[in-house]
Amino acid sequence: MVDRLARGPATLSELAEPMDMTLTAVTQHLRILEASGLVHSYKQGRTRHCRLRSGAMNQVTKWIEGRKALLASRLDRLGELLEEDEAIEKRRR
Amino acid sequence: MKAKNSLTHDTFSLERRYPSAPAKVYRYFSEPEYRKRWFGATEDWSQRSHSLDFRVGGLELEQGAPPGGPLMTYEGRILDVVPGERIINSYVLAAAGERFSVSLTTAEFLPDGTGTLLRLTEHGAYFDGNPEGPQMRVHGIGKQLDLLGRVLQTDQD
Repeated sequence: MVDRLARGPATLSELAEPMDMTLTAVTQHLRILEASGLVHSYKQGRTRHCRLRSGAMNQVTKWIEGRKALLASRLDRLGELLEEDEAIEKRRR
Repeated sequence: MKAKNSLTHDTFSLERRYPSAPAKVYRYFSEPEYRKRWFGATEDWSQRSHSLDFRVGGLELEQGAPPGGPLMTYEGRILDVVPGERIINSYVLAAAGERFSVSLTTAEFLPDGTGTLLRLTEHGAYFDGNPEGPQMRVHGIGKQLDLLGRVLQTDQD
């Protein structure tokens, strides 16, 4: 969730959508992040907008998150390669 | 604001389930021609190169410059190997020749049905005051952030 907000503000449903979590679960998660001072949210009409608090994440924290995200995306790339590999082998059998 | 040259330590783990047997996932980690297909810089990076001398004590060197960003270098050393089961390595990352982190990574290849549960645990010492950090983040992983949704979803499982 923090990674998503590092890209820019988002609504609660935008946060929930890629995570396959219920809105209730996301709201609970958001409360924890708000209590820890990482995230600020406000309601506009029926929509709740969320953003990272400025200064909440220092440069190093951002860097570590970026590093983690880069590694994670490489592991996903590996997963795609392995799936292709398995599909090719299956066709050969 | 922290003083320049301050230090932050961090440990994180990433887990993935793959459909292939541990021996194959291990091959994708240890054989250079397989490893560079997923590990190295993406195609939009310039000045790309990768070399891996896979043996205990062997070196891995990787470099590349993200669009508009500085030349990033990865200099790693293989520290421990249990073939098909575990690889431990350390590496130093630098941007434009300036070091900004040193890490120790353990990759474990655990049998998971007919597939593999990969567990990557990384301990890092991150140096503060490097202006390239956030810039690198923006340039280096901008495109890859789209993958993050899927990453997080996997993490929920």
